[in-house]
Amino acid sequence: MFVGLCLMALLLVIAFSVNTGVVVNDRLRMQETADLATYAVAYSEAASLNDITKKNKGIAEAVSNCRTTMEHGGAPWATPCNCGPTDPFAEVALQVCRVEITEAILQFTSTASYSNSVEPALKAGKATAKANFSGTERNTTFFDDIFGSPTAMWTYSTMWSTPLGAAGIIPSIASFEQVTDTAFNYQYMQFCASHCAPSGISLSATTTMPSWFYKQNRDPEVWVAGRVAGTPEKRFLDTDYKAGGHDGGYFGGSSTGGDDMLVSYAVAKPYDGSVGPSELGGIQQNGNMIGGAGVYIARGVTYPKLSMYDEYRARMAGIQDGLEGGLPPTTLIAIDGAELGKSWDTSKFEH
Amino acid sequence: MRMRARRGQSAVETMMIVPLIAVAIMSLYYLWSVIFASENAHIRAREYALHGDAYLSDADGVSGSTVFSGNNYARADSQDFSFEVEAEDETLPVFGRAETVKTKAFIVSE
Repeated sequence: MFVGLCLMALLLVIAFSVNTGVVVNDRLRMQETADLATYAVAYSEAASLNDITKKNKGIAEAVSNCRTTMEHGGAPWATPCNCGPTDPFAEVALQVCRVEITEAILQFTSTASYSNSVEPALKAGKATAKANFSGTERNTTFFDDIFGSPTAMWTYSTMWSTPLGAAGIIPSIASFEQVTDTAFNYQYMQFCASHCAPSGISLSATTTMPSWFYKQNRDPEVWVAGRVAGTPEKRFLDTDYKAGGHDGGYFGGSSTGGDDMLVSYAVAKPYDGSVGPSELGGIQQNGNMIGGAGVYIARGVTYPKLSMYDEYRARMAGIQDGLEGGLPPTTLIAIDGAELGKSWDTSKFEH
Repeated sequence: MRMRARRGQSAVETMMIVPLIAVAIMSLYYLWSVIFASENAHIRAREYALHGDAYLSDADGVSGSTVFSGNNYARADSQDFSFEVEAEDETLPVFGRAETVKTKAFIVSE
């Protein structure tokens, strides 16, 4: 009898010890899964931003090439000179320029679209969660810092005059504005001047040309908060499991997974420069402001090259980083909770 | 006679229970050792995946591809990426024998 009781007690001690050990181990794995999955999202977004930046640079280069051709003369109309009031060859060249620039813009908008920039990031986050801790991918959530992200799908504010999302140009990418070169100068028959003058024709004209994109009042960094929630596969270890209630959960909170979350933060940021010039509260960011006047117009070949570095990288971030970025990361949690109709205790996430 | 018998019973029960307690303690020791080794391996794998051996005091038993290059994070080149790290750690020795626990960490796009 005595021995039997002792054995039962020992078995219980062992069972609870093993259970506790496994749960502690799983919690650590969950946090690491949250870290790695969030990092995967940030990495994917950084890769997207590099791609977007390349395409943006392509627009600027197309505009620049057109300027070079139109302003300094070129093959289409250099010879023979048509000394009439207009030059049909120049008009054709101008239309070719428009087509080239429009094609570059389409490439940009396609690359920056939600399906090409955000969806792969979310997919990577879930894939990483699954690879590290199978089952956790069912309850993963990732979301952007609304002030930093050029890919935040729901970002819109009246502080931006012509947000692309509102204009329907890039329905899900609301952080870019497009430069319109209102003084795209082109000269007809530059090389014919001596031949035709003084015939009275105008040797120069001005038109408008769509150009590259920039972010106004945007920090070039993209913050990603990742949330891995829920009980992993070993649900039987959740001794208090109840399908519908707050019962202490696997790590505390609810067994249903809603409160049973672990959070991590990462950031995709440019090593130098950004997607486009940006300013934050009138303060120059990464040397991108031109002349301090906040004018962001590509003029010929002199677009601010510093702003076009496609050197985005991803790194893990902490709470302090988030505060420095202007937005407490816990705010993201609160926003996410509000979307779900719940009020999270954000103090839980200040790890 | 009755007193001597009771003393004998206690001795026998003690002799029976002591090995059980010893086995239980050894089992717990071993199980926790495995769990700690697993945790350590996971931490090492995660650390190597994110930072290479830049901050690992001992990178023995850790191998794979990392997003860290030199002294900085690598430039994000493509949306198709796969980083995989394997790390191992040893349990505390039980009867002079230590087990090796292996884990993996992934940063993958699909």
